[in-house]
Amino acid sequence: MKRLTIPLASYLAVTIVVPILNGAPIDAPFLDHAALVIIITGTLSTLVTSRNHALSAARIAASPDSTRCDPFVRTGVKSGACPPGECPNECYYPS
Amino acid sequence: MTRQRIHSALAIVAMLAITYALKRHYSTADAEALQWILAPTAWLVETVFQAPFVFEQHVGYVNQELRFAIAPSCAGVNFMIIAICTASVGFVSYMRTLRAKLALLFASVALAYLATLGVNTGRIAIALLLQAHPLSIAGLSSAQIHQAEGIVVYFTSLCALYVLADRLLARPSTKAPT
Repeated sequence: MKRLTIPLASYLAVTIVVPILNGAPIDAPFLDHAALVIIITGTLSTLVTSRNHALSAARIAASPDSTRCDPFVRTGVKSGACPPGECPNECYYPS
Repeated sequence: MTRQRIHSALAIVAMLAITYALKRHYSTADAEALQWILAPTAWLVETVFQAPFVFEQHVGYVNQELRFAIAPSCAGVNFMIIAICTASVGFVSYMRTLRAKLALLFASVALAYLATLGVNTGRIAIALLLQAHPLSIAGLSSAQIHQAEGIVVYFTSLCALYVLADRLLARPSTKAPT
């Protein structure tokens, strides 16, 4: 998400917010351009986010230990959900 | 506030100063003053299309045959500013020392310049192709299609460059255990 948020925020800030703060006239051409920027960047961001969510959901569903290891698979955080030996391919066992 | 955060804040202030100066220069500059970015862009477009672009005062680089001008508004300076901001804000926390943070900032400026030349050349190439083979999208004029093409090219390039840089700079300790 961070990989999309920072470029998106920078893009919107420099193309829309900075000109407004700079005192650019908020006329029809500016509003047209701002609308195009918001629609296109919003659409592209939604597409990328949906694709990422679909891919991670598919990865979880395809995992053989998806039920038992869900918390770990989804978050990558050490989890006590899997007792040692239960799902050795997915769980992280501290040494 | 930790020492690292103070250093990050200083680097961000330096980035804001650089981008403000660049934006101020761009807002008043004519084609002559923007030669530092227009000339290499025109050279790259010439190389791709094998078509000469001639410099015209107060206009920019023009090709009469293609009926296309690489004018100050097409210079890509805003993209360069956005790329500098994105790199500095996104990666400043990856660097530990003030020196490394400032080095990142100056590297961002240099790399943003090179990225702008590449991305802007691609954008102009697509614009020339669209001019030769016009698209008609309901409700959009040709000027709006040109603008939309610029937004798509710039924004997707920005995200792609950010992801690439993130992969190159990511510290091993920040990755989840596998």
